Amino acid sequence: MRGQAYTLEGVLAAIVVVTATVYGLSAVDTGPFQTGTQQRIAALETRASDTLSLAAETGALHNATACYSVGTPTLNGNQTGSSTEFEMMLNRTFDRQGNQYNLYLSYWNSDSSARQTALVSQETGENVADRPADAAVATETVTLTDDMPARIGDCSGTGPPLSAVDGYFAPDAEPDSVVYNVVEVRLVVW
Amino acid sequence: MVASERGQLLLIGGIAVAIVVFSTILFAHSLAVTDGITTTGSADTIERSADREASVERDLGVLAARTRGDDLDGFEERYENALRNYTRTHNRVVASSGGTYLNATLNESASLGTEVNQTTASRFNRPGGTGSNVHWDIARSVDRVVVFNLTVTRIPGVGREFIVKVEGDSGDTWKMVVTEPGNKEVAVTPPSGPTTTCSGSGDADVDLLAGTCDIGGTPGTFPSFTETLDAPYTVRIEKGNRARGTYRFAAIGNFPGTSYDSGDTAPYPVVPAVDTTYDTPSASYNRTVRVGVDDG
Repeated sequence: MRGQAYTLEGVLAAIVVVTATVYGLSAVDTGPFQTGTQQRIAALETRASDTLSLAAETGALHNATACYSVGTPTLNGNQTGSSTEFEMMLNRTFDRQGNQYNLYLSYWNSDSSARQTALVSQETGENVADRPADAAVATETVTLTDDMPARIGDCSGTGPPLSAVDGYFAPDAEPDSVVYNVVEVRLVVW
Repeated sequence: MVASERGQLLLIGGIAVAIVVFSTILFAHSLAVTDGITTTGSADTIERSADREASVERDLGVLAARTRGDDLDGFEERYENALRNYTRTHNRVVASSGGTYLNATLNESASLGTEVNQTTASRFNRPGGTGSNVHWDIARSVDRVVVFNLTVTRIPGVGREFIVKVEGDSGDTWKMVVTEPGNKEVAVTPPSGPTTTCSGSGDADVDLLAGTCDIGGTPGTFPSFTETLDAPYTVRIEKGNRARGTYRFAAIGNFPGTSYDSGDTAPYPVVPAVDTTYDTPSASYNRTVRVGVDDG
């Protein structure tokens, strides 16, 4: 009698354990442990990566990369009221959420060690300096060819071919080829 | 067993159960937290790889469109050259920030597309195969055409006509009739709408894809079959013996054995396949991608 009772108790206990385990596993977050900072960076990384991917898919990133204007840059980190599609995306996604970003355009230049141009969302000492340690980074590449028109105005109008533009930030990396240069766009957000 | 002993046993048993439950949950959670077991690193790698692949595939498409242009001749060589220059520049730029090695080479055998042509002026007869020599199908079940150029140099005999007919998915027909009742005339009749005519003296150069004609320097336009019909197409020549000239056609479709012998058709990368190799600090892998050519 007592043995039967203990057996029953054991079975019941096993059921309770299994049920509690299943319930517990479904109740807790089994995702990787992240500190608040890590979670914030991960979220920013996702937003930055999605923004760049979307801009690349729609052509806004290409237009921004090929954008050129004499004197003042069309892309200027304007936090509000920018007429450039890519910058409007950055405004909506980051500036309005209180995030800061730097945009680095890296390219190949065999004649010079200057192979990067930077764009900051706000001319603060922090922005101009190196990115903070807790920043999120996303990259995308844009390939430019010799006959691609430079973008002017709000970066949607077409200008002369890139190979014919003086003062465009990236030189022709492959003069004997249809390839003009490859620009890596690196978006750093914090 | 007295009542107090049983209560003690239950208490200890309850505590034991609680310990087991908590331990199990914490253990399971620690599996996810531990970086060696969790999928966090792998997921990030996969996500980055997918982004990188999408970016590279976009670039390959841009390069294909820019190197192809309107000129079929030597596209493979131009594209291979562009790929070499692209990967070199890409690796130089990206290596300084992330260290991704990329190699991309054209894989002609995995590319989709076929080209047929007649480069010296002669009758538009069936090149090979069996059946009617003068009424024959250039291609059937054609999903995508990248080039269809035709030059009619001569139509001997007044009142004779040479016909190119394209049938769309719905069975509707687009027709081009070339005659030479003095001057040459190219009359295009779409499935609906009026017939458009180009005329002039001299060779009739027709781009059936762009919908342009030029007869002895007199240009004209007409609605192309791609604008007025839905794919897949059946492209057919009728009364091919009535005219002389040249043509070039490249597409993805069925080039039937009733029209061609082996050697009459040649592979042409309408949709190029590119072997890509990615080598990053966290992942190394190969892919063969079919490049969607971005005509923009």
